[in-house]
Amino acid sequence: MKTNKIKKVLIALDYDPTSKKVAENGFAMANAQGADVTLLHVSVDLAIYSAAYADMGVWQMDTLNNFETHEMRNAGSRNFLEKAKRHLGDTAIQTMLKEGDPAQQIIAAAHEIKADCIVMGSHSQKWLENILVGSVTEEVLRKTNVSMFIVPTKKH
Amino acid sequence: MKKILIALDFHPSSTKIIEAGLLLAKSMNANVILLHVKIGIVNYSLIYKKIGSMKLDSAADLELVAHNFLQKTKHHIDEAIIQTIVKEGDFAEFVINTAKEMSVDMIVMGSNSTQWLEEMVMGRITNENLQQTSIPILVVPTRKNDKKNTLISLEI
Repeated sequence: MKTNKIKKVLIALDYDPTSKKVAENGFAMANAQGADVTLLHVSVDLAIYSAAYADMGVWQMDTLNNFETHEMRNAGSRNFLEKAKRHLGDTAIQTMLKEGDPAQQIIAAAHEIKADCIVMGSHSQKWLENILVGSVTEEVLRKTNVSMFIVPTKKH
Repeated sequence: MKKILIALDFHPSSTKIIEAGLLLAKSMNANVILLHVKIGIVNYSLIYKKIGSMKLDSAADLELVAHNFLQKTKHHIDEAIIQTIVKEGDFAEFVINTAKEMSVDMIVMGSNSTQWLEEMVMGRITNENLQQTSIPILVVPTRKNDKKNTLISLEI
């Protein structure tokens, strides 16, 4: 039987205030097992929006503005991840920034770094559901040996 | 001393869940509670028809099989301080209630139990007491084709 010891942990964080709890719990679990930790933040891809709303007439988004916003958002996300990393106080922690559908991107990131455990907060209900029961992700989770560590976070 | 609750059903992948839970318990230096929740006899014989050696004709048989199952797995791992509990009824209810009663720090369960997990995490359980858990859950991946097999046998 394959050993199930967790070696690489991916912690998915969003801007929810409960992210602190998710990061702390996930890090403690990873630390206990001597696993490597990567913090991930997925931001929604603005290109999807501009493509979807290309026919909005006067409300059509300005491309240049989009670009600026996009850069600013990325900088903000990096800052957010760095703060989380500093809070956990381990310089060996890796950070990762992705764009697009959270469920898909989390799975893709897990695949990329060969994570064997994904940590998420339960407030991320929609993606959590997509990850647990989504057909694409189900396939990935079935083929790879990825565990899920779910940290309960209170609903607002 | 930390406490980890490993929640099991009779799914063939249970040993994998136990292994993952025990590895975690070992690295966290935690005590282990093995909880096996039996569902009703009628459902059992339908769902687990495929498990050849388990002929479940009465509640007494079920008790014995459950006992043997836990004894076997207990023997298989013997590293940690393990307490075993067998209960009959609703999986989510007993997992959460036991977790609360024994103030465990973590719950380990298989992804084959995600239907219950969904109910627990996504708040589909109407009982408010059960919704309000703040215990992290580790979901261990278990093969989906096992589930398919059992589902097919359910339809026959």
